[in-house]
Amino acid sequence: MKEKIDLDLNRLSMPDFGESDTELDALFSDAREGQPALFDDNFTKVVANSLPTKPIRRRKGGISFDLIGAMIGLVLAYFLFDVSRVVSGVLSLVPETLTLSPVHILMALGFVSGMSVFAWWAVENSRA
Amino acid sequence: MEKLDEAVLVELAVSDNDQRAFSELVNRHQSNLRYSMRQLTNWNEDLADDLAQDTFIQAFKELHRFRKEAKFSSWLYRIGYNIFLQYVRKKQLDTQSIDEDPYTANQLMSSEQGDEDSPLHQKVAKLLAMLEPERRSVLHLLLHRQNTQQEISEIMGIPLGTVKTHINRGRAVLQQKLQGWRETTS
Repeated sequence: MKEKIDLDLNRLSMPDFGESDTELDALFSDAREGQPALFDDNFTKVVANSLPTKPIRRRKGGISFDLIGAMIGLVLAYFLFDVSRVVSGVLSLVPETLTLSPVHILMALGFVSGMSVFAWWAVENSRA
Repeated sequence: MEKLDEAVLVELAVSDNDQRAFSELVNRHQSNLRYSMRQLTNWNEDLADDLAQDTFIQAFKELHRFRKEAKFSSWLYRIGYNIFLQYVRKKQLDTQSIDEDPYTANQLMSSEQGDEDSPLHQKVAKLLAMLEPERRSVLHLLLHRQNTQQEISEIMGIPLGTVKTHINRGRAVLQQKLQGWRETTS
């Protein structure tokens, strides 16, 4: 029974058009075999003239330098700062009670909307 | 320069900023890329060439990211596909039109332009234009470039399941259209 259902599903997802299926493959095969050679010196020149003149940057080991820097920073911070004081200082900044008024919620929504618009704008501009 | 391996040309272009090496890569791949762009843009030659040029320029900028073990043509096509998709999104160029009969349109175009060299290629481009851009690219890579489904998935950066869906549905649309044309002409 299961096999029958699987077969039927395969039939649904892979419709068999028989003759036109062959015809489609034949059409593309003809196009492939008869593909014109679109070679043009001028095209290459236009591309060459549009290439940026400054050298291509290769970031060899860039990530490793960042990682090493971060590790050194962490080690220094560990020895130079009193960790428990920093933690308690940060915790003291957290309010014990929090009151949310409609104005606060509106401000938060406005901030989130603004950030979303900014993110959308940044993505669209990076694509351009 | 002409017989150098592509990996060597890429290395020369990246480390020595050798534009001659990159021009050689352009020479080797321009024909296929320009043809593919024509197929994707409903045989709009000027637009296709502009997109192909943008592709090569973008490829030059990102050449340092090219992995030597990858196939240069696949990597280039991936950039080209993204350039094409960006153009479609930006200009809202969607030539999909189920109501339009591409065969008739193609006949009209051929008779008006008198282009005796490419009616077959225009016909294929018109047929592909029936599909939305992503599906069009999948069908072009499959039927013309003969890439495998896995390769298409990697080139286009979409899941394998999506590729399969595009192939099944795209083929069905193209086959129906071809059947329609046959009935019209017979």
